Amino acid sequence: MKAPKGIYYSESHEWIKVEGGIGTVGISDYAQDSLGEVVYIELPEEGAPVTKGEEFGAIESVKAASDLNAPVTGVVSEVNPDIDGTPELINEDPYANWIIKIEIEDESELESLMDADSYLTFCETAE
Amino acid sequence: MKRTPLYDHHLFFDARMVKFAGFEMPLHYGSIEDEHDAVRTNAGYFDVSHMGEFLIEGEGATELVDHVFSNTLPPVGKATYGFILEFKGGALDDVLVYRFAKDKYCIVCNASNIDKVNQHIGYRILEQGFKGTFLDISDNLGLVAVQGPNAHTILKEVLNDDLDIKRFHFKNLIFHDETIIVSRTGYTGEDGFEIYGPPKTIIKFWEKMAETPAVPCGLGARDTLRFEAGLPLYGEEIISVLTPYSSNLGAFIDESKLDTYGMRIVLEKKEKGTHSFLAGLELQDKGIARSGYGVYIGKERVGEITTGYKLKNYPFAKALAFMRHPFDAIGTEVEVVIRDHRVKAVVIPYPFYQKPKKKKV
Repeated sequence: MKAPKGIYYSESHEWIKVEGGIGTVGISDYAQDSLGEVVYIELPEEGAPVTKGEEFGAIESVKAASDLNAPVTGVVSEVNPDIDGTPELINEDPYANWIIKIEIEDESELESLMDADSYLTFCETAE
Repeated sequence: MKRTPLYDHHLFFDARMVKFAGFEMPLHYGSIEDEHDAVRTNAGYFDVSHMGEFLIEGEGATELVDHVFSNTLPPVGKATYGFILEFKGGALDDVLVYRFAKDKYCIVCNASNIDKVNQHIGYRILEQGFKGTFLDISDNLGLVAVQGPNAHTILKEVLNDDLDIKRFHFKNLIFHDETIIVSRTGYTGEDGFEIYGPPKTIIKFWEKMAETPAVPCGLGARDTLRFEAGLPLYGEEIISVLTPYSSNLGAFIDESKLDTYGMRIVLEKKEKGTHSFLAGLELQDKGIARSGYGVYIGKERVGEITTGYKLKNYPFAKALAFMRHPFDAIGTEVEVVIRDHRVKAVVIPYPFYQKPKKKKV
């Protein structure tokens, strides 16, 4: 299972990479592997407000639907246009194929997220 | 958590294991979609050893099975699908009844209903009297389904037999010095076979299958395949609060058998009228209608989704749903509530898949 360093992870298995006040958000390798083949992603509109820990969309595999939760509070500044039509990209590379970008309201919220090492431990204990 | 005799083999194949009806079962071995396609175009083999089997043998066995089974009993050498009816006329389970001899039967039930079926028949024996054998043999039997257009060709080689068996018939064969039962049955909408045998023999059979072009398949593909073929799953398309008539499965109730347990009440309910029927739905936009979601026309709730999938070859998701009559009519426009929004859908015929007819040579 891959969990690149230098990005943050949430307990609901989203990752966030922060550059210049903008957070790029996707789901982790662990999440895509647990879900299996992704067949559909329900995405928010650009400009939609999102709240840390709350649902901003949904991801559906053949077998099940899961909520997508915002790792930080802010406003959706961009939605990945590629994954709407080809959601299976998430399975191919969950870190290259991000889902949304968030204009972060308060970067101190990142402190409650996990780094790669803590996240890997978290996943192992979740097994 | 229970394991089937093939548990180690699933791990060896890197299966994604899930809990199902008290068993650790393979969900898939990498891809539900690929396994689904393999069964439609080639052949797949499934461990379904979690299914329950009951042996009923001895004088009076025929009367007992007839009393608990909704359908006409099969002749020797054949298996018949039907229901065990409960006291309110719903289905306690859907089962296959195999007849081995004049007074020797095997009832195959869903894994989730093994205890319920065991107790139900136990109580019928208390009330009706039966001096023969009634035994839960689920743990002594392994079961592998081999399904797909190439299943026959592949199995002929593996079992070294012509397998000239008609649909819903079975025969005994010797495989590695043990008797196995090979029946031409399945749950995928394809031609195929189900092989029952002692656990050790079933392991040998699985290992043989692994050397063939057939693909190991998990419960994920088993569910998408049966869904597409319009085959009902107990707990979704067959539920005890509705009669089998709602599930469009009245053909598996022999209405002349008035002494069968639950028959009079099921017929009474039919007489009063069936108000909802299973129907197919096709969504008109993105989203997947899943079990438990409501179907609406305006404010009125007119349907209950039982199973839904977005399969690769569908532009949008399809679903099976109980629809209140007359909204089960083909072409009825409805909406499915998915999380916080509504998605338009239309009632379409099911099954969504039918196997291509054989070309006459």
